[in-house]
Amino acid sequence: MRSLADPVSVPELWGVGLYDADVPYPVSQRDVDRDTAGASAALQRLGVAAGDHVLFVSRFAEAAQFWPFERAAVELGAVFSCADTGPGEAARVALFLRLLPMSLVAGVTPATLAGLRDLGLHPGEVLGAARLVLARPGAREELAAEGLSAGRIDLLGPAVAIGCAADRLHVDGAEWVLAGDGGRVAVSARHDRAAAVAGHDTGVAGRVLDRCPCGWPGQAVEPAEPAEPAEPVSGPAGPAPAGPAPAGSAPTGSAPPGGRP
Amino acid sequence: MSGYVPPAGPERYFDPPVETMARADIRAEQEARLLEVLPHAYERSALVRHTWQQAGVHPRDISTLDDFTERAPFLDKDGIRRFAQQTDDPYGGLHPTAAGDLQAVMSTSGTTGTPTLLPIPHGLPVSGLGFNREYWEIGVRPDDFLAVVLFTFRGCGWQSAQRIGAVPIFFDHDPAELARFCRAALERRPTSMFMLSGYLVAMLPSVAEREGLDLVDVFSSFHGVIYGGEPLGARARAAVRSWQVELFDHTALGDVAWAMECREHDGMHYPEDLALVEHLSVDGADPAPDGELGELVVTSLDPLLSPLVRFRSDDLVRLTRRTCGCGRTHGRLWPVGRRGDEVVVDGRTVLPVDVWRAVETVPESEAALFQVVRPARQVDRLRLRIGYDAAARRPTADIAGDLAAAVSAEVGVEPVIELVPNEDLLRLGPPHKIPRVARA
Repeated sequence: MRSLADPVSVPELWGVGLYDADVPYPVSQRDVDRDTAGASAALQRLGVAAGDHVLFVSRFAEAAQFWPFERAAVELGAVFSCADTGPGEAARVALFLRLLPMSLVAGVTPATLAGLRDLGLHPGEVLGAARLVLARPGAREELAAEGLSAGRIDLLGPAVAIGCAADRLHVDGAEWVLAGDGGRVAVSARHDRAAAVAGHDTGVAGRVLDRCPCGWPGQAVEPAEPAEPAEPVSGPAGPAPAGPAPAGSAPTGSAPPGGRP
Repeated sequence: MSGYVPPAGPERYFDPPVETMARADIRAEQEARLLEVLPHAYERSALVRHTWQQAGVHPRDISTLDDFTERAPFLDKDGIRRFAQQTDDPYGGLHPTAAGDLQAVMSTSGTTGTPTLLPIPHGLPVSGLGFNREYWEIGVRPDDFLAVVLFTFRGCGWQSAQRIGAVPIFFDHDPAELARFCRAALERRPTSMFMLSGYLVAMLPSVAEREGLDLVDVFSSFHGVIYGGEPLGARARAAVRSWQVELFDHTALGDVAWAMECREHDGMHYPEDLALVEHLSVDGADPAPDGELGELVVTSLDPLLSPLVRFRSDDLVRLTRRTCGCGRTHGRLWPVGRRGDEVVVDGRTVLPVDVWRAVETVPESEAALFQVVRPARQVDRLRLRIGYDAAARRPTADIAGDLAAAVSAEVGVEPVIELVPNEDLLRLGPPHKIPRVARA
């Protein structure tokens, strides 16, 4: 009798996703393993720990970027949930936030917010239930207008970039090298990945820093657009909690802004 | 069409001993698994314990399948929601394991109401146990590519393909992705796809025309395509046939597992080693006759799956346990509709599937997006909200007139029709289906 849970064979390629809307993005099993290690370090820096609930809002087609984060959450002992980025998924986002104590919601889009408004909900209030929200370009500004300070999350080509407390974007420095001096940021793969990524123009304007004052390791992108004045990150109980990283975790700096001021 | 021919003999099956097990052995296996699962479900599931206590039954009272069907009380979706509200338990009393054992919390599509949380314990693939047997039957093999065109559910559909050794290519279940899907199909030549829906079927021809592609060529490497969501009408099915695509219909099995067609296309097989399926009379607890209409009632037989015990799914199906032409012995079902979708007009029962064929015969509504307005089960008039292509050039009164005539001819009831743009209805549901019944 064959187990339904055991593999028959394991091909070298894990899957084929995409980046920049239509660029095929093959990833190998090895790529996914390394990306999971990078995602784990990022989640720990965001304060995700065992027992936490985290919600990833992503496109299904972004599986190559977000599955490593979902796997990493499980490896950290957290419990993950997921929803798509479209407005029709807003009810699901609201449901998760209403029923589960979310520590992190990552990947919120302007369409998510529009969907919440279509349901007669205030996105800032719904998402304010989470300890930390990471929003994509556009959504972050909308949330700020509602009084919710969210961190950044974006895709720099194939690489997931997460905003720090200093409002710079960080990628997994073990996998990706960034270049750019105020024009557009380019990204290259540091290793021999299944997808050849070399000097790819991410379309994101900004300056690449070798070191970020936030304390997170590796390069960072200072987005070209004027950064908004830092929102006060104190909530009713004081500063926005970054959440202690587990012992022996990756280097910890301040978490990005999050939560309702 | 790829021209794939399944191998003869045991090589046809992913798991020959299980898939072709004698009926008596299936029953014995189910009884053994049930007796193992029941105490576990009773202990871990507050809803099961509450329901059984109210019925005055305990798992120790059950020592055979006959005991179970005679004594075990039923669960249903309303009861789960009610229990969740009364107890503030987000899982509706259906948490399968001890606290701290979860790796993920997924959710149902929510087509028939608020999505329900699906806790996923460690040890279970996030996708559940997946489609290994079904992909194998279609002809998916190690190193094949598989197009996964899906939404919401992570791991679903792709992990079981990976366990076979196939490589998924990921797409959103969105018409905006169809051009990319077509290009990838031509480049990487996948052997299967999970999943096509009526909405994507309706959109594919215009995408292919715009891109200058031939859908026969696009699908020429596919041994089969998994279809799901809602019944596919005759017009859409004919379109798919013209692309030389062999569709494999699938459906959920009461939030526990799934059922999918084999190459015989004579009903959808359900995995009887994972779920005990009862097929009961629509308004009672007596077994429905083989092959006739009944309600699908499901009990999970795996302690890691949701501890649903005698879950009345509300799904109306025809069902048989006769051996299939493919040689598999597990039962097969044919979905007909949902019990809560039925309306009775002048004593005549109407289900959405009855309206379907009529709606798609009118060009402006060929996407078959419609809702039956059902303020109550018994209604004086059949009221339909029907989506139409807003770019249509004909006056809406003419379109409504054609629809009314088509529905009258098909169903035998004169409908009252409200026309709305397709987009208005698409906003109501998950991308692969919309709620087919609305209260108002």
